[in-house]
Amino acid sequence: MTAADEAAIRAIVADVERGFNEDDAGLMNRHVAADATVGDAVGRVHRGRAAIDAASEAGLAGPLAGQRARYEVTDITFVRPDVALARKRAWAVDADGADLAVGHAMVALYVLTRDDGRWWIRARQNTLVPEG
Amino acid sequence: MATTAPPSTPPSLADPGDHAADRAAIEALITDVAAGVTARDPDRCVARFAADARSVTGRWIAGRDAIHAAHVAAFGDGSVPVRARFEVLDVLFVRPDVAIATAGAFRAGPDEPVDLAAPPTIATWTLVRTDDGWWVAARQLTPVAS
Repeated sequence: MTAADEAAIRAIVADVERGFNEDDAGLMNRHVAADATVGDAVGRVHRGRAAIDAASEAGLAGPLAGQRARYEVTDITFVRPDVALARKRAWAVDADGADLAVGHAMVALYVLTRDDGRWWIRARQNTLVPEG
Repeated sequence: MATTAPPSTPPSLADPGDHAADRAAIEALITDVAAGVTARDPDRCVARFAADARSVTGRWIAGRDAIHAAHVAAFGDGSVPVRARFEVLDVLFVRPDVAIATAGAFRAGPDEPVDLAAPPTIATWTLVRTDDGWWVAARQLTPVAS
C-alpha cells in the first residue's frame, strides 16, 4: 500500500459525498463493485450493484433529496496490500456546509479492494452514533 | 485519480474458489462470539478478534484490548441482551483469505425460533485468514429500524 492507495480511497469517499450532496446516485455508486453489499443506517442491506443503485436512486429522489452531509475519512487500515478498511464519519450539514444539530452523527466502515489497478467498494455499512 | 477516471463497468470480484470449509469455520467463529455474550465471557467474545480489530456499535472502538474492555463494561451495565445469537446470512470472499460476512443478530438462544428475514440488528464481519485460522478484522452492528 502506498500514499497513492490512500489518496485513491479518499477520492472514492469524496465522490460518494459529492454524489450524495448532488442527489447523483450514479456518482455516489460509481466505485461500487457488482457484487458489493451495502447496509444503510436503518439496517437495510442491499446486495449487488443493481439493488444498491435502485436504493440510492429511490433515496436521493425521495427522503434524502436535498439533504447534505460532510464526510471525513479518519482511519484506513490495510489488512492486505490490496484490501483496506476505511472509516468514515459523517455529519448532517446545511446548504452552506455548517453542521446541523440533529443529535447524531454516522460512522461508515468501507471494505475496499484493489483489482485491475483501481480500488472498488466491496462493502459498506452505516451506523448512527449519538452526538449531542 | 478516482474522480477523473471514466465510469467503469463494475466487475464481480468474488473469489471463485471452494470456500465451504472456510464458511463453516467463519460460522463457528461467529457462533462462538454469541455464546460468549450469553455466557457473559468477554475473553470468549474477543477470542478471535485481531489485535488491531475495529468495532462499530454506537461508537467506534479500535484495538482488541479496547473491544474487550467495552464488553466488560457492557456486561456490567446490562446493555447487551441476556441471550445472543448470530445467524450468518451471506459470506463474500473478496480474496481467498479475506471474507465479508453479513449476519442477523438476535436476542435469542441457539434453539429458539427466529425470523431470519427480519433480524433486529445487522452485523457485518470482515475476517482475515492467517496460518492460525480466521480472525475478525472488523465487526459492525447496525440496529434495524422498526
